[in-house]
Amino acid sequence: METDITLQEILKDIERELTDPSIIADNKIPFKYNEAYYRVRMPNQLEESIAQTEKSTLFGKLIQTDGYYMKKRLAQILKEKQGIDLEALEDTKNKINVKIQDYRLILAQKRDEEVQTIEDLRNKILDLTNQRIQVSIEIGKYLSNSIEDKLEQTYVQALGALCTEKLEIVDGQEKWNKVWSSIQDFQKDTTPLVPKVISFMTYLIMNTRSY
Amino acid sequence: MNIELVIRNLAKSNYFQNLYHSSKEVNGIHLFTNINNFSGLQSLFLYWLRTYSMMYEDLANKESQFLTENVINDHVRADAYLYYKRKKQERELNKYRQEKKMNDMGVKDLKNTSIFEVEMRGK
Repeated sequence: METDITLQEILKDIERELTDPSIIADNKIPFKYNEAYYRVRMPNQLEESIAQTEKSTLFGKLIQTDGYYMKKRLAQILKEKQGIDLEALEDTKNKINVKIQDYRLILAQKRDEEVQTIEDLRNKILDLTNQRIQVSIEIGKYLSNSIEDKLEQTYVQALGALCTEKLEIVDGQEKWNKVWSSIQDFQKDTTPLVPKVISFMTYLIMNTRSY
Repeated sequence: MNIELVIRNLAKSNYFQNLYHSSKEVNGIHLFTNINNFSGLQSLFLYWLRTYSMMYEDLANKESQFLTENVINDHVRADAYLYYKRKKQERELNKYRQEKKMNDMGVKDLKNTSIFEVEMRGK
């Protein structure tokens, strides 16, 4: 299944919705969609293992398919064929980082009374931070078709398929039932629920694995 | 608002800071409903909970002449303070290492002495 949602759109979407303490109350993210209640939860070991298998299977396929490249090779091709220099972009990002750190050192040594100086330094740091984000987005877009990114998308999709539940009340009893009976069903689903689930799962599992 | 800022605002709030300190002292007080398998958002929250707790301790101990509540309440200034603190600790650690090295070598007048790394190669 292909979704046209980029990581940046995913992040914007989730930022709009996740603004209250319920996002950390437990390891689930509840949300409403089409007047029904849903939740995306952290995977258990079995679900994690199923998602890893999906990823491994896809890797076996992509590595033998023309037109799919690992990030390193894709960066070389972009440079040779399109003149897009990702190393230069990384270098730009690092230089921006150095500038941010320099301004931070100055800002940290300002007293509250130095209102205007603090404001100026804040603005410079925020401006540079935005510039850094833009460069990261640009790099991300160029590499979004790499094998690594495809594997990551598949992994998150598989977890989304396995760990999304809908609240159903039967005979006064609340029950959380799986939304999709299989990963294939999830892949066939073309409703906006799918990108929403991918968004939430992306945030739910961030920083919880070693890449 | 950026999700990390939402998490940071929660982490520095009195409610969660108090809960954090209580949970360290009293068994049975938990920050979350789940006690394991933390989500990425929860891990990020725990990181900022500890970081803000450390900043409040620094403030109470007057660790830095520049640290005030205004700094803690402004994420850009708080980041600046954290970076400045890290750099200061690195400088102090390097100084300590250098002094220790000189002491180990038996150098008495530390102020007027430089250290050179010499590589010895045999044929």
